[in-house]
Parts: sequence; structure tokens; C-alpha cells
Amino acid sequence: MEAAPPSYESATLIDHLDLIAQYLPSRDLCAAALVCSKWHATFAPHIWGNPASHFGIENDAVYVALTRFKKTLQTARLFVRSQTHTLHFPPAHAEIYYGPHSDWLRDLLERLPNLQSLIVRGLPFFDYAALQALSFIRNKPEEHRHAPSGVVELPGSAGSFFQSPTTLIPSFGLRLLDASRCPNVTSSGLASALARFEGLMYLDLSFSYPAREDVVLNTLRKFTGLQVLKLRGVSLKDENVHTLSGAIGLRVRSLDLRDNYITDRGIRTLLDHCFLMPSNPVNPVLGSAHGPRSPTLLPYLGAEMLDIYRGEDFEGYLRNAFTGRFVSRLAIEDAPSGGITHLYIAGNLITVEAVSGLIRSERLHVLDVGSLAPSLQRHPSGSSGNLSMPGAEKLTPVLREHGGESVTFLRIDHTLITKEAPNLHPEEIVHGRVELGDTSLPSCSGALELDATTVRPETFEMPTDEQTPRFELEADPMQFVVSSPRDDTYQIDVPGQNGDGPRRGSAFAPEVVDTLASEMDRKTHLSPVSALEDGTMTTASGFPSLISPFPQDTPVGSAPSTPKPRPRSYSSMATERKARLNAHVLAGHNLHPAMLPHISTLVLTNVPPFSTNRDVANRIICFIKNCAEETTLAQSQAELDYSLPPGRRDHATALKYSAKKIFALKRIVLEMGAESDRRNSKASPWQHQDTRSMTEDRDSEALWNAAETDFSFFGEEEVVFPTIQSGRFAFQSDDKEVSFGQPVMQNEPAKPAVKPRIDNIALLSAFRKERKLAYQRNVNAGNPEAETEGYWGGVVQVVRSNNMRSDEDTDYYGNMFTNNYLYR
Amino acid sequence: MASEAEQTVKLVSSDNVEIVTERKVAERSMLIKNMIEDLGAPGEEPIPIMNVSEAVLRKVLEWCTHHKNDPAPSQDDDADSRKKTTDIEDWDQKFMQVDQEMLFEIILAANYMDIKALLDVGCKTVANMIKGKSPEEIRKTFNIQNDFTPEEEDQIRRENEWAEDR
Repeated sequence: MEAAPPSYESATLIDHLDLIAQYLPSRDLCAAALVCSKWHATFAPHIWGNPASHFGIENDAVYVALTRFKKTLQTARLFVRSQTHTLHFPPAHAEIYYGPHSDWLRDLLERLPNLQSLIVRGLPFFDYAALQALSFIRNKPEEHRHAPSGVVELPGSAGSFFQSPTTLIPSFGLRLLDASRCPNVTSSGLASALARFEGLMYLDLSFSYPAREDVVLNTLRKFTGLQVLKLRGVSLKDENVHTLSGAIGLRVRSLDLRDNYITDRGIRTLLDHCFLMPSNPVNPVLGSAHGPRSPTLLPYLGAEMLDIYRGEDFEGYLRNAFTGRFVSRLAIEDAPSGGITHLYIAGNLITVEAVSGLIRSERLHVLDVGSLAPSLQRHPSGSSGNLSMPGAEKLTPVLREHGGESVTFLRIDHTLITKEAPNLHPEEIVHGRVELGDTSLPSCSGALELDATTVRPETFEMPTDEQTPRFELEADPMQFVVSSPRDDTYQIDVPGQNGDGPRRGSAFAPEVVDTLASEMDRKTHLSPVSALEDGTMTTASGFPSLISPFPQDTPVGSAPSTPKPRPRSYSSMATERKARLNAHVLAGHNLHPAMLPHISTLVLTNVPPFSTNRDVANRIICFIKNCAEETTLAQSQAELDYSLPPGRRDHATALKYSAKKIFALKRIVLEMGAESDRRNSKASPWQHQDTRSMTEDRDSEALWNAAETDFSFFGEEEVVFPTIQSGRFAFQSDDKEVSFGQPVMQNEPAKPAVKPRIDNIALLSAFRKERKLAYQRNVNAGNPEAETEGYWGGVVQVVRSNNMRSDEDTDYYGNMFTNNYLYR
Repeated sequence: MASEAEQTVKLVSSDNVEIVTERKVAERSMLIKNMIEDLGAPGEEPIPIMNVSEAVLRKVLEWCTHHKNDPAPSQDDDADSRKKTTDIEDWDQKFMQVDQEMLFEIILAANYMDIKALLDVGCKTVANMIKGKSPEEIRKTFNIQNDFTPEEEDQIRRENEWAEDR
């Protein structure tokens, strides 16, 4: 993804010594570097690229190595020092020593001119003093001191171009900072340190609590290139989100706000400030809202890179890029800021309304909302006497309307699939019925999100193009919503809860608006969203089926007047798919895979491992069957497609690619919920639910954590064993079992059941095995082309997790943190 | 369509020698495997292996034939721990008893043809030749002239000192 391609020599010339160096331990690397100048040139980068990887992992060893390294830096030659691109510290404590002198961080930063990644996750030395030291320039000039870093010592290095002439203190060239789980930072320390890292593109402050302070969040304003921001589990509240959204504006693409205290109001703030709305540039601060959307902005990214850019692995890609080698400039940095496209918001107090608002923004490629159930109970409007508050299943129609084009990754509560989509709304039925009548036409209104070709999104986004937008307006009644009363625009998806018989089957939606509006009026003081009364952004993307004033216009208006660019596929399959989908919706079913044609990974959280009836398993199986059907159809549609290159060469690849464009899903992950009796005890999704300290105070909690595996009063020998063993064993035993059902799911060892229940996973697994066998039989019979009903080639993974922190405790190198103490 | 076991593929080395081999053997190389998948059906069309000469290619294919029934390598699991171990299978050790020139060629070919296991074996073999040796011993092993001045050598030694006792 780099802006400039590598030179031909560097791309083709591979040194065998370079390959071998990865197999040598630190000591032999040092010996090899002394052999001759050529070997030195090969091996020195392996020593100096990420020096901290040679520090060892034991607590005091890290400290000693760090001190020696710091001392070495004073005499090391510049060309050696500038080979360091990454400092990835293991989170080691200093046991005997107090820790390095507080200027260690400044020393390192100043003497490593090309440092681009600093990973101090869980490092106790990364504390107030070390950070504070960054904000002063050393007064007394020293010998062998080079000008403070960021200087142009090596051209093309990551650091130099971010110097802002206005500040007195030069900025360091750091691009990636992972300061998550740092217990010893303070807000003022962080703020003053961050002020010197203006070039950051990736910032992770998760679980470093002071990060939520306004003084820290406000420094984010300075980061012109910030694209990934992680603030997981720092107790952010809605007010903090307000500060945050003002600070980051549209620049950040990937925002991780999991496990905070954000409510719908915070989401609303985000929607107002951090999402690019092409049709509605309401935010005066961000006048750039006119631009077309990312796909058209990045014509120079290949398809593969675009997939990364929009996919779930975007953050991981950046991490690997920045820690693996020197990166001069990534092509994606040239893209104008496009607002949030990757949002991780699970573990907050948001309701399904906020989620539907997010989906309606049509901006999100990756959305992680996790389970909504616990938060719903808290939400004031949830207590309105309606016991069966609808959960994620309510999102089906919203996803259908708005999610189709963009979403590639979705993590959501299992009810999206395992429960009936709510069928209470008469309007919805009418809407569906209207569409059904329309399916005979090749271009019905439903085509909006179902189009399989890339032609559409581009035309849709071009602001100058007048033809297509007009079509959009007519075909999609959502646009009229702008004129409707303000306070109901966001909440439109709140079910009317009006079981009124007479209105069923009637399409006089204006009445519904009134009802809803009046209901809304009653609720305003309860709903945090409408309390905001901005009425700004979400109006653009209202939900048609509920409050559209002209539902009948939809089919009539759109059918004759479609200037619609025909999909290039030479088949009626797209139409058939639409018809199928409509039938599916009419039958009152929930999410159909074809509603999200571009999604590649779907994660369902909180799937009950056991249930009293077969409903859950049956619905998941049904979903997988639908996936199989869609995949098969996508393949056959791809084969009929014009655009394939003729001839044999590359045909298979092109075919695969083309099929993927039509239906992309390749992975379903089922995250099993805790057993139901346990779930009740989980009052809060917040990680301190199982506090050990009586006061629930964070500091005493930290003490308890540190003391938990501290057996130092035992004697020398026992010190080692309990710490290592207990930590590791605990993780392996009950923490996380991942079965990669590749492609047949492994049969999970069933947990001892107290009462006779249905094991959902066993059912699923039996189904998958049986289908796989059927497929094999077909293949063996000599017709691999034959369609095997229900056999889906994708992967179904089952993740059993009993520990809330499990996914956080494994860092991206797969290393485990046990009680932020030992690093394995 | 013949079943996959009997299929053969034609490989062409950099010096234009055609070598016919089983598809299963050739597919130990991810490069070839992907190429065959992209082409759809293998067979008639020869596959050029640009960077590998005939002698090396034959050697590589010999290794692939011996390991053709190994389980497919899993996705990059614990890549690091795999690299830090030194043990090599007996057969592989014998296989790697070639002159250094050939050894390096095999490593480069394994890298180019994307055969992870062979790359591992080759690199470990060389790494074992380096491990535990002093710079002078390494020079002898690989027949390298020391082109450092004593001062330079001293400077490098000091620069890397912090990493040495790991």
C-alpha cells in the first residue's frame, strides 16, 4: 500500500543471509555482524530494527538491557541508530530496581531518528515522569548530542516531514504508538507527550484510564494524519465522546470505543461529527463533506489493497507494516479524510436504535456492536412496560436497506439471525407487499442495495452526476424524510408497539407518523437522543418503511423512470435473487445472507450454547443453507458474466473474484455466550465486574492484580513455578477454545449439562458434517460441479469464552498477558 | 478429468530444461499451486520457474517428492518458535549435505517457490553452521575475508554489546 513502489533491485534481489538471519538468536546475530562489512550490512538491521526484541522477557532483564541499550546509544553511529524502526517492549516490571531514570523515553526517542513504532503496552516505566520529560528540551547542551530527533538526518525517513514550524519543541516522527494498559500514565503526562507525536497515524490508549480526560482528547486535534484510534475500556462517557468527536473530526477512519459508558447520545454525537454524509454536508467545520466516497477516491489502490483498506484487517495491516520494516508513506494517507468507516462499539450502553442509526449512515465497512441485550435493560425507554424489547433482530430491515453496499464485517448479537424479525409494523408488511408486486420488473426499488456490480456505488456517489441521484430520490422514499418532524427522525425505528388491527394492511403512513410523533413527544424526556434536538444528520438517512409519507409512490415512480445503469451480469439472476429476498422478508424471516452481499465475516455474539428448543440451531442452520445457496448462485452468475476475460488463463481467478463481488461471505463466527444462569450475574459489561477489592477502586484493583501471582514470600524455587503455570494453565483450560471448523466443524467437548438441554453446537456440527459428506459423495461421483444443497464452503468457527477479557489478553503477536505481569 | 493423483505438470527451469513431475509433488510449492489453481487445469502448458536453474530445481523436486505426503502447512502458526528451534529431520540433514553454493541456491529457490518447510530446513542448516561460533570461526566456515579495521570491529562490538548475552 506504499505510495511509491520499491525499486526493481530491492524487489528482486533477495539475500540468502537475510533469510537466514531470522533463524538466529541475538548472540549469534552479534557474532555474524562482526564477520565482514557485507555481513554487517545484512545482520545489523536485524539487531537494530526492533532492539527491544532482544531485551528478553524477564522482568529485570528487560530493565538491565534497556539501561545498557540507552548507554550504547550515546556512542553508536548514526547510521546504526537510524536502522531502528520499532521499539516493542515486553510489559516487564522492575523488581529489584526502581526502574530506569525518567528520561529513558526521551533519550530513546531523540537518539533513534527513524523510530516509527513505539509499543509500550503494559509497561510500568511508561509513566508520568517519563512522559513529562518529553515536554522539556534539555537545557545544557551535551557532547555527542545530535539535534533533537525529527531532524533530517536521513532523507526519506519517517520522521522529518511532520515538523511544524510553529511549535518550539520539534515533533518526533513516531507513526504508531501503543500505550494501552499503561497503569502509570497521567492525563497531563499523556497530553504533553502526545503533543510531540504529531505524526501519529495509529494510536492505542486502551485501558489507560487517563486517556479519557479532555486534556488528552483535545491533543488529538493536532494529529493531522491519525487514522486509527483505540480508546477501549477507558470509561468514556457521552461528554467525553463530545470532546473526542470535536477533536478527531473526520480524520479518523477506525475508532475503537469498546467497553465504555457510551449511550445513544454519544453515538449521535459521533454520527454528527465523525461520519461523512455525502448527501448532507451539515457540519460547517468540515466543509469537505462533498467528496465522493472512498472507492472512487482510491483508484490507484488495487483491488487487493482496497479490500484491506475496507476490511476488518485494516488495523492489523497497519500494525504489521509499521513494526515490520520502514514505511515511507502509505498510499492511503493521501486519501482525503472520510470519517469513520471502522467502528468498534461493543460493550457500551447503546440500544438497537443507535445501531440502526449507525448502519443508516451507510459509511461503515466494519461494525462491531456485540451484544445489546444488557444495555437495553438499562435504557430508560426499555422500561416502558414492554417486556419483550426487541433486540438485534430488529435491525434486519435496516441492514437490508442500508448495509448492503458497504459492510464487510459485522459483529452483532445472535438474535439478528436466531429470532424472527419483528413483524409488528403494518407498514413493513405493506412495504414488502409493494415490493413483491414489483419483482416482475427487472428494476425494482429493492435493487438499491442488492446490486452486485461495482458500477452502482460509484455513480451513486458522484455528486456532480445528476441522473443517478435523481433515481435514488425517487426510488427511495427515505429522502423525503428530511421534511418530516425532527424529533422522530432518529427514533423512527422504535416499534410503534401499536398492535392496532385496523391499520394493518393500510398504507396511510402519514397517520403513522402522527402516532409515532406523538409517542415520541411523550418519550422525549426519556430518550437521550431526541433530547439532543440537533435534528441534523440522521434525517438524511431516515428509514423509509416506517414514516415515509409516500410509500405508494415508490414502485410506481421508479419503475418507468429508471435511468438505472443495468448491472452488467447477463442474467436474470440478480432479479431472481431479489424476488427470493422479498419472499424471504415476506415470510417474516430474519437476516438473509443476500442482504449483505459484501460482508466477508459475520460474528454472532452471545449464542446460547444450550437451549430448550431447537429454534436457535435451526435458524443458524437455515442461515448457512442460505449462504450455500447464495454462494452457488454467485458462482453461476459469475460464469455468465460478460466482463470475464476470455481464454483459459486467469479465468479461474477472475471467476472467483467476480463471484466474490456478488456474494462475499466466507466466515461465520459464533461466540458462545456464557451459560444462562451465569449471564444473569453479569450485571455490567464493564470489565471490573469481578472486582477483588471491596472498594472497587481502580488502584487497589491494580494492587490486587499485581499481588495475585506474587509468591515471593515462598523462596527462590517456588517463585518461578506458580506464576508461570497458573497463568498459562488457567488460560488453556477455560478461557478460549477456538475450533477452526475447516470446513467441517469439530465437535466441541460438550460441557456437563445439568438438565437435559439441546446442545446447539452439536446440532450445528452434525449438520455441517452431514452436508460435507454429501458434498464428498458428489465429488467422488465425478461431478464436483453439482450443487449440494446446504453445503457451504465457508468457515464456521465456534469461540467459547467465559472470560470477558479474553480477547484483550492476547496481543497481536498472540502473546498472552497474565495479570499484566508475565509475558509469554 | 483425470483424478488429481495422476496428473503431471511440466516445469521449465531458468536454463530452459523441461522437467515433468507429479502435480502433487509440484504443489508443495505454493507458487506452483496457486498458478495451477489460477489456470484451472494443469497439463499441457509448461510452467516457467524463472529464477531456478535445472540442477537446483531437480534438487528441490527431490525434496518435494520425499515430502509429498506431509500435511499441508497450517497458516503461519507460531512462526517464531518454529524458527528458533534447531532440530532437523535425519533425512533432511542428509539431503542438505551439499556444498554451500548449492545450499544457498536451495534456500533462494525455496523462498522464490514459496516452500516454507524447505526454506526452514535450509535456513536452519546454515543457522546451525553459525550458531555458537565466534566471528573468526564464522569467517573460516564461510571463507570470508575480514575487511574491518580493528577500530571498526571494536566500535561494532560496543554498539551491539547490549544484545550479546541473550
